[in-house]
Amino acid sequence: MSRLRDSYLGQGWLILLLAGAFGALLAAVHLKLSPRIEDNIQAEITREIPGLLLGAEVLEGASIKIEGDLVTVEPAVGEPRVLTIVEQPSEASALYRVAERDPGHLLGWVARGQDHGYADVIELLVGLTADTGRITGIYVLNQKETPALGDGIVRSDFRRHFVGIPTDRPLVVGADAAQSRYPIQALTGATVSSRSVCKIVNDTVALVKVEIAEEPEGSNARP
Amino acid sequence: MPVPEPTPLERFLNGILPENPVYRQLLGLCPTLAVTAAMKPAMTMVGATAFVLICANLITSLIRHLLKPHLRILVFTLTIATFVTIADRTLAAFAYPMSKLLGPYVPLIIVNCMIISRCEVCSSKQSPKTALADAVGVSLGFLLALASVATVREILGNGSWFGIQLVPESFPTLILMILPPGAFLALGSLLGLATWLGHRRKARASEPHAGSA
Amino acid sequence: MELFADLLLIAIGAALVNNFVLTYFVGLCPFLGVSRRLDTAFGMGCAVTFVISVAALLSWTMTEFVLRPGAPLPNWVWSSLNPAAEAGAVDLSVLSYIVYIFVIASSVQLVEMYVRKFFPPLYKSFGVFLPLITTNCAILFACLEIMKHVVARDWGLAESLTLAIFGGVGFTIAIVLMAGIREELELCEVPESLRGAAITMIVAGILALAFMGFSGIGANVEKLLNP
Repeated sequence: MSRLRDSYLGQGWLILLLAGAFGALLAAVHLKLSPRIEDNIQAEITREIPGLLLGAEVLEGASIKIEGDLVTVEPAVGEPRVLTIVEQPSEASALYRVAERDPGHLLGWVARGQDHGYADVIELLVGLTADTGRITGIYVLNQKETPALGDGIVRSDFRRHFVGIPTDRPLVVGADAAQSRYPIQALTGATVSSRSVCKIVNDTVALVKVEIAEEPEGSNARP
Repeated sequence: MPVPEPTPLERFLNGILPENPVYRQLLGLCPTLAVTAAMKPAMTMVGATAFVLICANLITSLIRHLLKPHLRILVFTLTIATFVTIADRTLAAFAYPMSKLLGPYVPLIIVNCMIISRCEVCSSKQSPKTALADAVGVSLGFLLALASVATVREILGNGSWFGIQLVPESFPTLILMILPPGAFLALGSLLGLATWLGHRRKARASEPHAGSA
Repeated sequence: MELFADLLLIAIGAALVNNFVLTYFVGLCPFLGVSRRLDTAFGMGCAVTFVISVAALLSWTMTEFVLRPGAPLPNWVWSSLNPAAEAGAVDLSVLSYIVYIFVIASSVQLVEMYVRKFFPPLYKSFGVFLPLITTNCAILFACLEIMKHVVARDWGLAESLTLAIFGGVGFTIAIVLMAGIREELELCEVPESLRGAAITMIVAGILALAFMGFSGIGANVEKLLNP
């Protein structure tokens, strides 16, 4: 009896028992909550996609419902629109093909890109028209830029500059932009953050344009 | 002389002010500085910490007779880490934006010395009732500390409290206060203030005494 | 070259721009407790850097092969037990925090035994701090950062170790600076109620303000490397 008490098992049975109990508890929590967490992570991107392609005005007062890869946008006035969002294989962090479900025509593309900003990595979503000819909008997913200076990149009045700009030439910002037809106004006191955003947009657009051009024509007609 | 077992009520009150984890014991400083740029994340943090503290205190108190002295820290760590994982997952499932904002500071509750010190000092020696009272008291003390720092920082740095705008938008705010240096400055000043108030109270209490001597 | 540039940026970021203590507030207990004298502060800094590197190596290995969603080891075990299983179906990430804290505790033990056996003088100088390091949040923080990037599949071992080592270096820089200031502070007349932790916090605030000057260095280094 005393030998049992001195053995490792006698010493550690409580820990083994607790580990088993806690393991079961964690497994239960994991099984119950992980689908919800996955949905949350997915929805974080999916929620922003309609706004990038349809324009921020459409979303004013609209409610967005997400079921799998179907996103329903119900504007305050007018018909609800149902979009199908399909992730495509891509060199970019992620590339989504967005189509209107009912007429079945391609609405545009949304790509995710990232690079160093001023303080840390900035992550963006960039919306493109179906022919990738113009930018339809950008959205900042993650950033840790300086509060009140660089974090202005998340504000809509900065992001609005990017809407409708043709993608045939890279974007330029601030002082380099004197000759450009579409200069991006840098944020006051945050040239580096503004420049980083432009660089991410340029890189992502360049990457995605090549990839989409390589794709067979038939895939565009898919509903 | 046997020390009388502290009553649950004593334990409860002790945790709030006399043994306030942040102001008196300087424990749990990492979340006190990191998540107090605004009230909302600070209060979420308090909720998560309180959940872990209460659960861990109850469990260690229930198994206190079975604990081997040299393995107790292992048991405490295992318990705390489990409940932190549960808190973290629950936040990610039901309050995803907040969970993203708090980021690594939720898992860092595991190494919050406040919790392990309560397990060690109180709950591994006392009945579940006392342990529960102690955990709730300490949590309230932690709430008080985080709320005070977050109030100062959010009002000065953002002109709002709990997201409600208090001063007009055009009013200049002290952005420094919501940046990391502001956290140190705010907590440093509040610590000084707490000590000063403590000294003053002690001086007042001893004044008539000194007069009669 | 690109890897080198990435590593350099991570190193600068961890040591200066996003200093563990002064911007992320991790490792505050030793920062306040062991910063009274310069030599002990330096010893503590070295001990933390050492442990953080060992812990990062172990936790990177665990994350990459066992814990991340779709990790090879548990999936191999599962698919050999159950051949019908879907590939990459096992996700043990819910166990990460428990595994990390035990990895940290055991690497502290390991380092302590090793140092005691092979470097007795070193053990004498920082051995007393070693048990304290287990509850140093800087180490768990480094593990969590590494986990985040390994799960996102953008960091390998080199990046993870760079973050850990230079995070430790940043901690050492901060605690040594603090100790230097506190040694001078002993000769100053500090208002009575501010003595101790309060004045240390305020000094740390000013130090953090100074470190804010480093932000933006990363962007410029990158511009230098990729003109």
